[in-house]
Amino acid sequence: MRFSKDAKKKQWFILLLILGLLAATAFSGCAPGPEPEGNGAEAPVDEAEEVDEADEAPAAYTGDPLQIYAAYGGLQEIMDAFTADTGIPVEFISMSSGEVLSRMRAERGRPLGDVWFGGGVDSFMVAAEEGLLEGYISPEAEHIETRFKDPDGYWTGVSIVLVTFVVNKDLAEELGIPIPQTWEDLLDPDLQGEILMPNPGISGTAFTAMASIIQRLGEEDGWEYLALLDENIPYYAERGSEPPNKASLGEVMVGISPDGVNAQREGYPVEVVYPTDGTAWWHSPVAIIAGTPNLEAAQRFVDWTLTEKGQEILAYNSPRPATRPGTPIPGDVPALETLNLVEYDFEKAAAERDAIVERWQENFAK
Amino acid sequence: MAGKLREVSQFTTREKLLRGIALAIPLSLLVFILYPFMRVFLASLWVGEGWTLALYRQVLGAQKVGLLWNTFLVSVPSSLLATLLGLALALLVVRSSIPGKKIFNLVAIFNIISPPFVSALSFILLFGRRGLITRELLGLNVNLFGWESIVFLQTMGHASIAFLVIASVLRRMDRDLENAARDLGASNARVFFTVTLPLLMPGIMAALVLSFTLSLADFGTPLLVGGGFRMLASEAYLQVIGQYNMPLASALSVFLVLPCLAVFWLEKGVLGERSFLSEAPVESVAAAGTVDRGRGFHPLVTGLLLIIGLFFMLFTLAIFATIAVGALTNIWGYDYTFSLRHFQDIWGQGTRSVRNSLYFAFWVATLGPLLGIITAYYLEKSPFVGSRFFEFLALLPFVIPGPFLGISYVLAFHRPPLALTGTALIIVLLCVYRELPVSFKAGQAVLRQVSGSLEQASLDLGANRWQTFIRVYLPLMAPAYRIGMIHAFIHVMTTIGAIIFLITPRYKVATFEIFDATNRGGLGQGAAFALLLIVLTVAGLIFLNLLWKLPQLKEKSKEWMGPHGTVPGKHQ
Repeated sequence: MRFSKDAKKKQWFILLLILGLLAATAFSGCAPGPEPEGNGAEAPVDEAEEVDEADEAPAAYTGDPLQIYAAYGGLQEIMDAFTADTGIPVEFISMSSGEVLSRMRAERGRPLGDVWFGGGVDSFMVAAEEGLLEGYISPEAEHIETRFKDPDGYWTGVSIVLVTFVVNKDLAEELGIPIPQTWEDLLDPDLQGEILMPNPGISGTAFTAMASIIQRLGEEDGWEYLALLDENIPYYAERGSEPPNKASLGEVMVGISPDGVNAQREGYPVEVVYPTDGTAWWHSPVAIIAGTPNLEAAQRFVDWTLTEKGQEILAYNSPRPATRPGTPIPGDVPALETLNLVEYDFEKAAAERDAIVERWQENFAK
Repeated sequence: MAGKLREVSQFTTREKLLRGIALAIPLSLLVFILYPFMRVFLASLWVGEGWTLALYRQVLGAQKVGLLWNTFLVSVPSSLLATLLGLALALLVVRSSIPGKKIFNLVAIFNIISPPFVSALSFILLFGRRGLITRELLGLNVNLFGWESIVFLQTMGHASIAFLVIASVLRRMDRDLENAARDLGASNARVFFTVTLPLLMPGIMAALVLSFTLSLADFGTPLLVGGGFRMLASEAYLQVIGQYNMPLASALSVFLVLPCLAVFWLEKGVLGERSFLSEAPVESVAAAGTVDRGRGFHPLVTGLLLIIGLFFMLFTLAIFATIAVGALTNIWGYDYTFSLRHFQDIWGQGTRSVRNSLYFAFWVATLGPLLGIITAYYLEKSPFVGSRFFEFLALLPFVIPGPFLGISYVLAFHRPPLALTGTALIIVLLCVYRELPVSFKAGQAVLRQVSGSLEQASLDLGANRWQTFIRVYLPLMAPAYRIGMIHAFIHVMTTIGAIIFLITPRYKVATFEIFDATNRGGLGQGAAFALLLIVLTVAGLIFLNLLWKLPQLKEKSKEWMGPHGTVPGKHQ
């Protein structure tokens, strides 16, 4: 110890001071807490001190902010609009359907979320069966087609998700391959190594696409088609986001994904193709998590997403066709009537899910 | 617990409190390290209503056994290469005579702050099929997806940590031995291989253990550049998010942690008590005063080291520049016109997540090291039955992959009596205990260098144990505190693997936003978050460093210069 002990002592004292200071800043400045009344998300960091007041008790709205697990695009805009309309503050987090399901199971009896917004309808069906969802038939739900909602009100479809080809136009031109318009076109040998699709064991998109093909072509032809398609697929992605991202960046020409319009809006040179020989689809629902301490606010959220206005905001911010007929949709979203939707039997697909995934794993997992 | 710690620093209580802490420390190690750890084992063995090995059979079965092989195939070469690269960089910075070599130190720190996911995306943009370098510059058409890319990225990413560990040992190394060997007529090469390298072994082994663990824990890189190549950590993650299969994820995590434990023990066995983290913050007596003979390497060696260093620097800078470009241009990789639209997009919810990140980082950085040095004090100065075991517990988080830790906390702390999930506290606790080994080890190193007579003198002069602790030991351990603080700050800002299972709508963090943005295809937003994170982390580090240096500048205590050899960990 070659330095003076006094100096060290002083250092230690100053350190404590710093510690106290940091603690103070951390408490006042950075304390995470419920958003303040209204649209707190807009509050810049400088106003953090005032935000702090809201930490203990949000003034006007008596309940806690609504906690939402979501798998949806344009969440910030959608939630801002909801808060502006209802005065209910919202906190949300993006999560895949699988993770929401895992969490709800782990949190059974003490749920940390109130609402589950968006995702694969099959996961909602599983959750309803396991008693993880609260039944609620919204007064607005009468406007929604029967095939898009659960008869017991465990979930209600808010939009239609379409499985599309996200095609990189630059790359297509470079390779001299016409942009594929049908599933049949994807079998073109020139497309070898150019098509990316997620693993159906992980991705609901891929599973729905495959099950749709099997339902459309029949058991035998369907599997034969998948075998031929497999020739052109270099590997199956582990995440649903990988195919459209890699198509955007030009790593592959075609990515199979439900979110092509997002890549287009981001500005990438991609074309979104709705296969004319059968577009796979599912409805993306909203549901209330069983045991939520914030039931009333949760119900108001469900109501709001199904209103004319809510539906329009949803369709605009997350570019998908709405489930409520007559909802205006943005220009880059096709009208449902113009598409060749697959006649899809959800219950049959759910019943056969394990068998299909297993058979796929045996034959095609790389 | 936080409250207890603050009381200590307020000088309010006495011996009783000291004893209370003496009990609380081992207890907290049991509750926050051992208990969650056991829960994972339990979850993988107890399914439904009985004990079973079915999950393990599943992991070792035909479909999954490839995972073990894949993980091995990537982690072994990547940790070896990262250590080698780290060693080369350390030699370059500490031992070569190249002017301006300090810059590599800075580059290494920068490299560590590189945020998850986005770095891999930059890599694709630079070296992919339409990559700026591979295509525009070299005219190649490459397919970079595969295990080779994982090895490469992990090597580059973990080399900086290996560098910091090895460099800190190298800096403190006693030059006398080398000089003696040289005086006795040994050639430079001979001195290097028979004296320097053996002396460096603790650092090299620690670097190896560290990069091996980090490689095992890394789930982002395989997902982004693996091209379908599956590894244990990413599989465990996917089992949770894709198939809602917590038990199988637990079983996979057990396979993640076993090799880490094995390496940990192996390292202890090989090196005995010599050093583990090799993090003694006290400068060696020899470093300053000795005359350096034969300093510098053969020009060829220097040239080689310089090429390696420059390559590392260019790569790191290229990745950072690409991130900055992505954040500030219209469409990442396509339209390079300047644009702030991504920052506008992330302004609302995003600022909150960034605030959360800062909040957690500050709390963990300030409280965590305090726990670490107090733990070191108790285990060193008042050994009791089983204190060796508690020492092992305190070091354990060092080798536990992040996702394992995250899963273990979910399993352990969802139900009463410790129903902590959904709170900010559980995230802080997780990070505090994850960071514990760093400050613990640093504190231990200090204490082992302090002779017992110092304490004896203090007691003889009439101070009680409390006063001795406060006035003698705490000041001595301040450098250890600093190392822990800086390490924790960087780590918490850039981590994702460990806390992804614990965050809630209220406590989202910036790294999660990056993950989420890239998931949704908002690549520019991801880059914007990443850039923000980098800037804030650097600013935070400068701030912490400044605060630390203030008293120093004032006191003009010229001798004390803490080694820069902090060992900030990597995300995951």
